[in-house]
Amino acid sequence: VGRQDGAEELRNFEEFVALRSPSWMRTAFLLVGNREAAEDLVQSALERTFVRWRRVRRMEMPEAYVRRIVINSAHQAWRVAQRTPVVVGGIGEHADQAFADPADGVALRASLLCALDELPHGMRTVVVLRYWEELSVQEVAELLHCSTGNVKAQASRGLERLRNLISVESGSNRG
Amino acid sequence: MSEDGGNAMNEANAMDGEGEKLHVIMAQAADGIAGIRMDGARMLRARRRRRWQEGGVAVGILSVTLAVSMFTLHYGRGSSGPAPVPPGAGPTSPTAQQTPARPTSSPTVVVPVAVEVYDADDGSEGAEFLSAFTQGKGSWLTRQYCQSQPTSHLRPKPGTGLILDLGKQTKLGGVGFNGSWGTVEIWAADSSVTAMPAVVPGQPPAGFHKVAIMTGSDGKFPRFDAATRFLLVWYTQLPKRDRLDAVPDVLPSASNTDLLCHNADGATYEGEITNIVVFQKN
Repeated sequence: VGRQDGAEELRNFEEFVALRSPSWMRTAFLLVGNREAAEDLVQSALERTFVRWRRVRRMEMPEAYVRRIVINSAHQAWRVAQRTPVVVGGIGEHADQAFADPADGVALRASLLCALDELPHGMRTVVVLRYWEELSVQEVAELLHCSTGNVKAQASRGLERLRNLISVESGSNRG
Repeated sequence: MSEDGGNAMNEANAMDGEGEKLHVIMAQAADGIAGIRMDGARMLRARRRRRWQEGGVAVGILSVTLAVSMFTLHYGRGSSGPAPVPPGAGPTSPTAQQTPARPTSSPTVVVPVAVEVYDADDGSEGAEFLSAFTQGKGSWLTRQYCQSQPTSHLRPKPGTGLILDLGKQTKLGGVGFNGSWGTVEIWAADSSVTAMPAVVPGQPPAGFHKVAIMTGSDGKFPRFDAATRFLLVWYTQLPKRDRLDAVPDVLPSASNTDLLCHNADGATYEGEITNIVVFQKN
């Protein structure tokens, strides 16, 4: 009976992961900037979740639990490694070219990721949660345990810095 | 958009439009990033490892307890001097390094069979530190807050902490605590509680009641009598983080460290539990 329960639990968790992992992976990717690191974060979060799955599955939003671990782990990794953003090329200078053809996904991805790398970690997290996850100011504040005023200021400054770096307006108009 | 990013009111409308554009660009950049295939074997290995680690709680806590006991014996009963700091304990300030209240006879260590977060939120607070804590390799840390009162959804919550499952109903003779203090309480479960309780947002665990409180002013848990299987170690007020602790490789921290708090001094508050030692009453 125990083994059957365990197998059922694993299947249940697998379904949960299949349904939700694309969203976690994209968020993690935008937070850390490369696929391998994003996958490490998500796999690690899944391990931590699975060992507590009986508890977590009873939560109202178990997917938010995983997302929070992904975000916390990204911050932990940043702080431990004292990671310094690496800028590949002069993004501002080449923004127009990068967005000349919106279908040019490779250039677009490189431009955005380099620009995100320029942001402080907290600001990057706010920007990703606010504009990628499309969480409300209130929801981001709750997730990061800071004030709504803080989130508004970080989001505003982050957006402005990204705009300067990758010419969002110009790129979108062309699209 | 003005150059002053803090003028949020004036920029609110412009931000909406640009935010949408940014979302489109992010979607394009993340396009092709697929979900991941769950590695079932890896998950099962993690679970087995956790079970071993829960056994490791015994080893970690036992070693600290023996040190505490020897310290108590060496320095005499009733000593309130500091217990030895175990290896791996990070620098924190202020800290509570305390011998438990003196039991009436030789203490027996109770080894928890499981430890879980109870944060009166969603159960995720410090989840990333729990594994190292149960192995005796590191501390469990709360989130960082902008005030001493822990909050959930921007509203005060009753507390945050850890629940220890002692495996069976146990008469307690004392609790030793090593970590940072603000106000830390010990809660015991009624006999009606037979499983690790689900986390209920904004509420302490059902069926638990307070048996002892320790404040930063005295740093000691008073003696108490309780018989319980589950024990909650519960921060109701968090201490201010020492700025020295902000060195990243000394103390990895929770999510909002580079978001400035709106206090006059920008201080953040965080709890840290390095060790908990539970003694059975003989």
